[in-house]
Amino acid sequence: MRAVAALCLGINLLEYIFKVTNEEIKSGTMHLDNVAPDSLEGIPRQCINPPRWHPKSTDDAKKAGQDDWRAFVEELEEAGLTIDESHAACAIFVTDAGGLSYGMPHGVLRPQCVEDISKVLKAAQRHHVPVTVRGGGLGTEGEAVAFGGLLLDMSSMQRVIDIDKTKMTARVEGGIFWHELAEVLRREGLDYLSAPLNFTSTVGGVLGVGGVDINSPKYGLSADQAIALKVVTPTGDVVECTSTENSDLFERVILGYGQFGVIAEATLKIRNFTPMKMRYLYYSNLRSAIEDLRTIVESEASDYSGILTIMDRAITLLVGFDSKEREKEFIAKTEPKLRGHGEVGFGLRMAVYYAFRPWKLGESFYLLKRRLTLFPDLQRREFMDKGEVVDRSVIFSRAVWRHWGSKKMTIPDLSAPEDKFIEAVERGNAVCRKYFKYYTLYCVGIKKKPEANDEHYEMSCVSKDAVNFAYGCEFEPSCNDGKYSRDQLQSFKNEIYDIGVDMNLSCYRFGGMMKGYIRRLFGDEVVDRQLKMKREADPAMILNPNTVF
Amino acid sequence: MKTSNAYETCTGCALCLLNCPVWRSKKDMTLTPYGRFKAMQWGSSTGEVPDGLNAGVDACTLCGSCEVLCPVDNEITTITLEERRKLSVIGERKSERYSRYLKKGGAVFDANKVADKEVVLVAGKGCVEDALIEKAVALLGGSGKVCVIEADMIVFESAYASIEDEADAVRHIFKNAREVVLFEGLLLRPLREILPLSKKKVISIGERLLREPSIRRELLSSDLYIVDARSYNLDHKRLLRLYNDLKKDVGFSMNLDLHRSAISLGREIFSSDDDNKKNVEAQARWILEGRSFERIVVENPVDADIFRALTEAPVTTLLELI
Repeated sequence: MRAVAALCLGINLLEYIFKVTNEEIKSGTMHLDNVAPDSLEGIPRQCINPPRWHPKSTDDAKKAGQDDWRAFVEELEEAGLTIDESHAACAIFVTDAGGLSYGMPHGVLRPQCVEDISKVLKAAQRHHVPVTVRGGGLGTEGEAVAFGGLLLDMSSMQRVIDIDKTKMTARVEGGIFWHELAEVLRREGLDYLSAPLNFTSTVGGVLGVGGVDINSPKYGLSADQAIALKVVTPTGDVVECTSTENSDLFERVILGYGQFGVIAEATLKIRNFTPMKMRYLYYSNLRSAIEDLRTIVESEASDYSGILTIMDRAITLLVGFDSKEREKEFIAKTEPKLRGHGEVGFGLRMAVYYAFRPWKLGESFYLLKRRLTLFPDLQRREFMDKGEVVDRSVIFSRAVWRHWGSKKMTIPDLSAPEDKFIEAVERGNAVCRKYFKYYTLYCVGIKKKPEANDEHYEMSCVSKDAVNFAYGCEFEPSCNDGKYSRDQLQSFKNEIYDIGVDMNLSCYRFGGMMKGYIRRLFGDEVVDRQLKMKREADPAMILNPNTVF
Repeated sequence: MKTSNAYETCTGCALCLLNCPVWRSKKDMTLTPYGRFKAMQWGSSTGEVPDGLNAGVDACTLCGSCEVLCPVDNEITTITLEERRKLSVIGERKSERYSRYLKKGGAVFDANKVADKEVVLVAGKGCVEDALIEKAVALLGGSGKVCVIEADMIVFESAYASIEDEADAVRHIFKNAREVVLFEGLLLRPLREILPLSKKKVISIGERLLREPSIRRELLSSDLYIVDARSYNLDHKRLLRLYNDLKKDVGFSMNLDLHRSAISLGREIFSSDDDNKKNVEAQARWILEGRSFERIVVENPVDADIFRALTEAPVTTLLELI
């Protein structure tokens, strides 16, 4: 055995030396960064599915000749609620958008009202049945995958309850898709403030984790547009809360990763709908683009902004405006300071670059193909009117799935304060280059809520060191061809998250399979405090287990 | 055509839910294409899981709104019809919806009736009033040039018979046709597959009428225009430009959602079914919600009565604008 171990060690050492000494690393050709050995001493990685929950038999259940699950199901049936235990119903929820985490619930329940959720959680506490709450299921780390127990499919609660045009607020059920809300608001000439560029995510789900949009530099996180919530606590109590009434619960539930309650209803700020005027600037240098993004965000020169890279050499900075006046002001005051090019100028520079590098012909074809397929989709005539983008959310939501969509959406991310953003993106970009031939970076600024206290963003997707703005970057490989293994994608994600740990940053997504990073990212003191609160709020620890704690 | 093993290509984006009338009324994933495809990816299959996916296969109203949104271009309506066919063949059909209306068997078209004119107007059996059919015939060139063929839509939608299976007979029926105009948008795709005519020669009645300047002139900016969901959604790539330009030219509002897919009434031939009738009304209310208009113009005459029951504004059909 010792001889075999020594041989393995020798091989590993040789491989390591070979990797280190091989300075010429071609894009997308490097071997895996092994997941098993830890990059940080003494801190184990965790990136596997949690164990499946199996029902036990408590004393009460034993007397009735049942296990916990069966007793739970029967109690809810007596209360008029039906749990669908069919394979077909459960199989829908086996995984999430990330496609790397797999688990089957014992049953699925579609609540119709807040009382249904309350009954479920009260019974779950009694019978110690885990309840995993699912909105659109668009997480990528298995945050809403149930490893046994009950899956609470909140998408059954889709109503817009009230629109108040005087106060400019909308009251909605927690399971409503952002698209449904947009549809209803648009008929009234209204719009929500900001939502993730993915229409089938739900309001409740997004308020629990954050949500960024290209107008986050102006409005902040999607979660920050909530002004009141109706929450069902883990023990089944129904509580109305705002930043002043039951404020502790409000602060815990917003950005709380579903640990402290289920958002049954929410009141959101809304605004008048405006079409968007869009401008594109093109860069061949990532650092210049990021610096310019910061200039735009921190001077509040535009209403929308973000970076979308096609390749390291082809980077797009998008800026948008709610009015012609804002656009004119930008053109006069800010644009001259920026280093980006217009499309024609950038196209000519690219043509010259590739003309002298015929060995990069494949790369130039990829760039051209992306230009010819992606950009028309961002300006489709049915979504444009007189040169303005009428439905930006629709355009981006469709483009995300058409051009980057797959059954394994791999989008690790980093959230950094102002001064660490460039380094974080450049290091993340280097990791992308190591693993994949083609990938996309999506960067945005996120305005912090000025009136927020320190605890508001604690253990959240907004980096604690950010002063006025945090910056987020998602790293998304183009792996539609499906040639990448689960291990490879996981190991890529780990390397991105390692940067977060190393630089003391945060991430948009840190739960589920990534929960092993939580203590490393936020520190024991914060996590222990949150865990203590969780234990008090959820004695049987049944609500969204395995997601954070 | 992206149908075979299409469920494997489903990424799980769930965009197909957004304008689905079944989802809107039931809020039950198992009844939606998203739910069916995800469940099939994880081991369920139609016909093997009693009461699992079968209900979803039969619940679909075949409006095609999901297809407009599908980023991988799955022809979900065609897939659903194939699944219905599969269920019928293996005798696993659970829903009573169809069996209440027909005995198994039958054909979509009557093989004994051969179209003897160059323009063929296809109407669902008993779906459109005779007076409106006569009006359409007159508009398309008169009875000397146009003949009417009836399709048994119950047989087609239930998939107890398919046009592909009757391909030779259908080609024979339409052998003299130079242009085929359809009241039933669901027939567009299979007829285009088997008839030796270009796409522009097998079109919906709505598209055909909108080509007439005399009709376009009658449309007003204060109208709410109800496009026939099946005709539009199942041919949206070709029709998007036409309707987009029409909307901009006239300035009226339409029953399109933010994705520019047509909001369907979820209407089936089974509108006498109480549950379906309630859902159809709910869909019609959703179309009307928050919209201001002075008149409703419907492409498909069958939709007119539903709106007449819900609004005091005049409701007319495109054919009646002549």
